[in-house]
Amino acid sequence: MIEVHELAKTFPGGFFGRPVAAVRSVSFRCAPGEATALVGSNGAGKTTTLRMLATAIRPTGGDAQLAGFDVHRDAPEIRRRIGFLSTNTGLYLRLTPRELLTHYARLYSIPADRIPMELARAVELLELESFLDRQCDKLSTGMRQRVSLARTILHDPPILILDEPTLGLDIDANELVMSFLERCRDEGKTILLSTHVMGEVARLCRRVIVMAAGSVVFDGKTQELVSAHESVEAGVRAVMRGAR
Amino acid sequence: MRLRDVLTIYRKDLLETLRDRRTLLFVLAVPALSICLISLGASRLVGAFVKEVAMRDIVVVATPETRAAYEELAHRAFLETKVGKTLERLANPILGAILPSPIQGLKLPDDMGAVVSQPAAYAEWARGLASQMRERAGEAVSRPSRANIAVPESFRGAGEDFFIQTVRGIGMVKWMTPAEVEVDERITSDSLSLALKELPDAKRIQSALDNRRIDVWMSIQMPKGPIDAKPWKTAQVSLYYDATQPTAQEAASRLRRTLDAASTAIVAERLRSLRQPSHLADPINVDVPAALSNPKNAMRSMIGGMVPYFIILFAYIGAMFPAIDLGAGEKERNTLETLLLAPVGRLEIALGKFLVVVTTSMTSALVGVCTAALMAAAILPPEVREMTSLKPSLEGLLAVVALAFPLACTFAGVFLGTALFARSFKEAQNYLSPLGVVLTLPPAYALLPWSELNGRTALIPMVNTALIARDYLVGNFHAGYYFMAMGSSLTVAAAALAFCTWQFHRESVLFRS
Repeated sequence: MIEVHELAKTFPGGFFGRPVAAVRSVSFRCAPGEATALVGSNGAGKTTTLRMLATAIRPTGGDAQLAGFDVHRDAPEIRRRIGFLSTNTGLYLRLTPRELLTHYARLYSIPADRIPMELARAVELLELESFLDRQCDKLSTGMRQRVSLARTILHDPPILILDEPTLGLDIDANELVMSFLERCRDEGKTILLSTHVMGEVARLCRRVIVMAAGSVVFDGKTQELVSAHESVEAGVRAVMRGAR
Repeated sequence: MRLRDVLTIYRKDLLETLRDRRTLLFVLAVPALSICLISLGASRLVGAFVKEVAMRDIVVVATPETRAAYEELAHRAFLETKVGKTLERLANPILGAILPSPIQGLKLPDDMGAVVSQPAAYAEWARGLASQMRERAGEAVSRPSRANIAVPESFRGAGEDFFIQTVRGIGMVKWMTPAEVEVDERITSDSLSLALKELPDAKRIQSALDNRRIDVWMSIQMPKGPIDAKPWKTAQVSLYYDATQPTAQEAASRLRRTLDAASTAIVAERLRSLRQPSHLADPINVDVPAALSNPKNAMRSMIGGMVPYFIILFAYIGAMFPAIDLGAGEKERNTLETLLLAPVGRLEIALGKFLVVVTTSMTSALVGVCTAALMAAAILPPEVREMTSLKPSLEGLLAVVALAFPLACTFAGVFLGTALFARSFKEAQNYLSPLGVVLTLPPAYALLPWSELNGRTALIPMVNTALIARDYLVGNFHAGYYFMAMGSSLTVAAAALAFCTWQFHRESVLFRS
């Protein structure tokens, strides 16, 4: 469960710049077993919102709770319960997927005797077997994204926060990632997903949150948008036009 | 703090660092290669210097009268040396028969009587002898090896004393007469050096000095009659040379050494004729304590000043690239954000990375010092090696480790914190590269002759490391200053670590774009 209440983030402007309000009083909820899409144009505040929820950066206003833990006070507990992935998530290119996943398994305090089992589960889910011992700098974009996803779910978190997880992937890799996310959703995980691909929203997400200029301008069911505007894309466009 | 997390991060980052060719190059290859190149280059350079400056033929312009006077004075100097006195005795038909053996390491002249009595015969013999010695020395400097770099046998003992005091002044002088000097007509009275303006031959002397192939213009005015009999008179010697030219300076000093030795010999003769003790002309006898004049100490002091230089330089190189890679590099490769979202404290992350940089920095410094020790063992002859005390020993290694540790910690903290601030690898390089220039200054202080380890310098980071390493190698270990320096360096290292950890807690640094 993710509960966000009037969350805000203002970045200081440095010596000469003015402070920038990237997110202004955002509120929404994401339920378990449900995928929620966060959409909006570039600079709308999606990534900043996701980073605040993932406790990478601290909110300057409002609060949020993930799995019952507060982003201000319980950052370590939240980190244990979320899997975070962004499109530009980097891998340690000089390590192999096996070394990288083992490293993160240790950081997530998975007991040493359970690490091979968890690794095997992630490898099977994301079909990593064929390149598990190849150095990451030799992997394709799709392979790298699958390794990143494996790293995200290694500790079996109840919440997944994903920032454009399919950007730059080919059709096969895209299908693999989408199927994987559907499976996670059906297993009861809470998924908050930022994307620009409306087809993915239609396929995966029951709810859509549209952001513009740091604020939520629409928060409702995907079906509502489709009913009113024939497609998710048309609906999001209409909402964003209205926000301007 | 969870030590387990620190070790996990340390293990991963170290593995990744060891797989980076660029880091390996700078941590291992650069110190080893640069030490090899510096050692070989320095030995060649010293050889070339000896050949070009110390053993070079010097060209002296003098009238035939001056040349004759100089050779006479050099002969007087020679007769006062141990070799001269021995030859005088050997030339004596009675004493020569009694004396059991000639002087060790010196080929005796065929006509000892002529060498002892005639300056020209002595000059001829000395010239031949110097030529032989120079050939052997030339071999030594042109092929520096363990066997060749050693001082040739013939230079030692009596031969060495003789060479230094006398032959250097005669055997390798090439004479020119003033008439052979081509006068440069472009020289006007205004362009003459101030010291020459009053001289009748000023234009010719100036031409000689301007000509880089001529070293010294010498003129000697000997008094009429014997110089060591009453009435006492003084010979007037003038040396003109370009003091800005090292070769001319060396030439002038060679001539002066011979003339000083001749002056001493003449004073001794005058005192003998007055039946006065030889110490009459020496009211003050300056005795240099053995410890200070010990060549071992001089050599160790020089090496001691250079060792910390290398420690600091290689610790800097060894820390810089891994720090950039683990700081700015991780930001650039987008791996830092993922790590920050793992359930690990920022302190643990900072410490894990910090320890990797300390490891590479220490490794680099050790590789440099060990390579220097191995190179010294490979190219220095045993006697020089013994003088420098550069023997790889556990004790020496521990001393270096102990000194390098706070230094490596300081570099690691400052570099990692700075690299984390940068947006990219290149930006971090721009920040850290200028530091390399600044870091050459503190160890350079240890090379200054007046620098000393005291209560104040022991507290200055890096300067104290350099001074302690130098003094330790000379054999002066001050436990009090050592612990003061360690305390000071560790305090600075702790501050550097605090800076690094602080940077890892700053959102504006971690997500700076």
